[in-house]
Amino acid sequence: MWVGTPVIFTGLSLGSFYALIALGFSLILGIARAFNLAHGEMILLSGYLAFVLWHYFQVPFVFILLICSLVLVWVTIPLNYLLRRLPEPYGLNTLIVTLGLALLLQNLFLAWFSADYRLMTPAWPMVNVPWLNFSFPLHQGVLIVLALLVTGAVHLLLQGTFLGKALRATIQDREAAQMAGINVQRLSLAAFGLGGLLIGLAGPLFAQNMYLYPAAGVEATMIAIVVTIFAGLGRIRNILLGGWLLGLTQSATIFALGSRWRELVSAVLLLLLLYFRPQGFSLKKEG
Amino acid sequence: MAASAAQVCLELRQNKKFFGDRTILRGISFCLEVGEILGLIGPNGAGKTTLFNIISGWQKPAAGSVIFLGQETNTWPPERLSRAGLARTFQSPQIFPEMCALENVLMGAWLRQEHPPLPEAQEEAAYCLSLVGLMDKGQTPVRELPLPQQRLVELARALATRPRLLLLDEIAAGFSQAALNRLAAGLLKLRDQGLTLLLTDHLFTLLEAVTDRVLALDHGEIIAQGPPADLIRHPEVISAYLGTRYCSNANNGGA
Amino acid sequence: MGKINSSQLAAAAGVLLLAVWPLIFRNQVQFHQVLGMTCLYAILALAWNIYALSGAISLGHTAFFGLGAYASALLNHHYHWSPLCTMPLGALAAVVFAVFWSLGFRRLRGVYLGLASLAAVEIPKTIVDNWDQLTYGSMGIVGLDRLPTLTIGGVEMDFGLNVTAQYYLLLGIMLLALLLHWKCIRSRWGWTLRVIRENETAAAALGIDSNRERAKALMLSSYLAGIAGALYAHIMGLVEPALVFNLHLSVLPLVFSIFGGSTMVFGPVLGALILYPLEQLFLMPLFPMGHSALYGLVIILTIFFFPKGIAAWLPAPPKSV
Repeated sequence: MWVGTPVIFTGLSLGSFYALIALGFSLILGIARAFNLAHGEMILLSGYLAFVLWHYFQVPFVFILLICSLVLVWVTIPLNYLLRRLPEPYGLNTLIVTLGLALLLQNLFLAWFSADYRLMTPAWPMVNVPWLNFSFPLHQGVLIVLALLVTGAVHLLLQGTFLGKALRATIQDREAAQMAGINVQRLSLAAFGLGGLLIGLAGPLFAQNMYLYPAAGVEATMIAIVVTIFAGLGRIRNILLGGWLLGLTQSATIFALGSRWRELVSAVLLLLLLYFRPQGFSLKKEG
Repeated sequence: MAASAAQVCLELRQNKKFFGDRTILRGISFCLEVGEILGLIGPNGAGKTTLFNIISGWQKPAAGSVIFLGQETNTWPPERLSRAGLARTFQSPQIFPEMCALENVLMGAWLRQEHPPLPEAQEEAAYCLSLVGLMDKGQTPVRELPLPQQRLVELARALATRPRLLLLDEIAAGFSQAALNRLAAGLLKLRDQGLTLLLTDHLFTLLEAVTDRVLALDHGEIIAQGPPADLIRHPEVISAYLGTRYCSNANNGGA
Repeated sequence: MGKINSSQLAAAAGVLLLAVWPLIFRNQVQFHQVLGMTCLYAILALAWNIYALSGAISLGHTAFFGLGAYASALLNHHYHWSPLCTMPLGALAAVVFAVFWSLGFRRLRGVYLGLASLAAVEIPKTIVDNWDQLTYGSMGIVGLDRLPTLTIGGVEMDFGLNVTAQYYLLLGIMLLALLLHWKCIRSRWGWTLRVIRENETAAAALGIDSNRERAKALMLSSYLAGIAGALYAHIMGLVEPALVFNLHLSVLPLVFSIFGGSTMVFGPVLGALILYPLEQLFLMPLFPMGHSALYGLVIILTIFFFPKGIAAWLPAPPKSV
């Protein structure tokens, strides 16, 4: 077996997971203009819920996905109403408030689940690819398929439906959309709802592929930010691309330098992206 | 330096600016003498604000040069130009929202390059605020003032920096006739004290009252220039500009 | 000038209270310790706020704290210099980082500056974490010299082990930092920062170079945060990457300053004095795990209900300009 095969496979699978993490963040930011720094903690919330369902109630994985998605919608929708009341400057205030929310959730996790590392380890079989002489755990493959399915679905929603048209218009120019008679408030509710669904979906996958511990959400938030800035708002296909790129870069870095450098990869990529695109997520050029 | 050269305050040579594949300015050249009041007219999108931004350093010309008081300033950032004696106001007033009107003006006087002592700056700020007729609004937070008065605060703040050249971008928008007359008288008085002025307005009233000379701009070109009374009869200007005059008059309440 | 107004009186009373507090509650070691750490975090909050006065919200001040702590610890560990000398020198490491920060982030504003500062922490943290020969990696450095014993006015003060003496040292440094903070608000330069905070376009129209002035503010801010970190290293006697490069240390000064009142001279100190003892003395015994949730809750409530902080409720000081 060529040594690059597992590196690339792990990178793709990790990257697919990153795309799933970033989707909810990107939709909420694009449509509601809210920077959700508690994004990672919400994924952890869903992850801990999945862990409880799996560990104490032996719920099958498919149902765990379903339950977590539905529950998280009921977390993000109140958040929508909460953030809507924020005074100006709106963007910076959402950043500070959700940072506070992140801190709150981290400490709740600490109180409920202690600082222990937890992992959901259902018995997934290994899959063998004979012509590459390579085998991988099935749950890593599931990530790639799921990421393709979900980004495909969101892409179709945005491109093919009337709601999607309104959503895209709002992402591109919120003021113009409002003047064109689009109810931006209701769309931001839709964005938070959809975002919650995606966050809920990402939680069980997080519990399966990475360790759950109270401070684990910070990295997930950072990944969501990196991928979203890379993609630009409303570019769903780019999110998948960005996720893969980040996953492959990390996987290659770990292979070359060791796992301790992994967290630096997303941070450095974020700094580079911001250095060259100081207007950040915005699609409009300044001046 | 030759006496005639010292008389030139601002000179533009062949300034060009593009935005994407659109040309905003196609080769603007003119000269502004010390103590002159020059007006700039043109319909919306003619390039007035772009030209202002190029002169004051907020945008860089794609070609050509800007010469301010004998120095080429193309590459200077706005703060350097302002330290060299160029002050401006903005179409949407740029104020310090949490400060009162007097403090806004004081920032112009106190923080300028010469670093005058505070009492002297305070005196000067009060004087500048009285010049624009807002002495009674001194303690009001500026964000609570109506837009025209915010523009006057901005003007007073610009004056407090003791500029050599002052650029006023649509300062009179939304002014009553009485306020307009007061402003015109004030500007003429400032010119007598040696200030050079460049102003735009898409209404002709203010320009007619104060300017020595007016440039008419359309599609990024100077289509005519001369004293305001002549220009108003210029056929090209009438077709390019005065056609929109009545529209903008009608829209003025909402602007 | 000789006039004394109510806010000056309140400030004097507050300082007096802080000075005599430990004398009233004698022998309450934990209480003195918490008050000492309150002063330390108040220094960090003042540092954070000096940068915030220029309109920049940093989510990465733990980078300066950690660099100050590590630089001082390394000088002490490898060269055996006294903390009196390593602390002011070590804090310069934070200033060096601030120079790179100012250059790299000069085009960033608002939210994006916040995000970049959050990510920037990873760089010194990962380097310290991985440079095993120099820093001993994630093990950290233990056995650092404690703060020295000095004889001041005939009284021997053991700043290293006597928590009451330590409290007075930290209180003194905090008051110096407060003085600096006061100068950063009530001076010509302070108004320059305010002008930048309120409107950068207008600031440039007045001839102010926002990037340069903001960089100056960050230099001061980072040095002070570095001092706080260095003090922490020698108070604890150890440094660890996870301990001094910690998101919590970026959030604490933000919460203290905004809750206290970010535009007020006493705001950051007020925030620290109320919140930190509340968390350590009241919430910790009740909730041994997760008591820091307080800070999350407080910042959310602050932004919603009193975004100018509690200092805005105090009687306004007379205008100094």
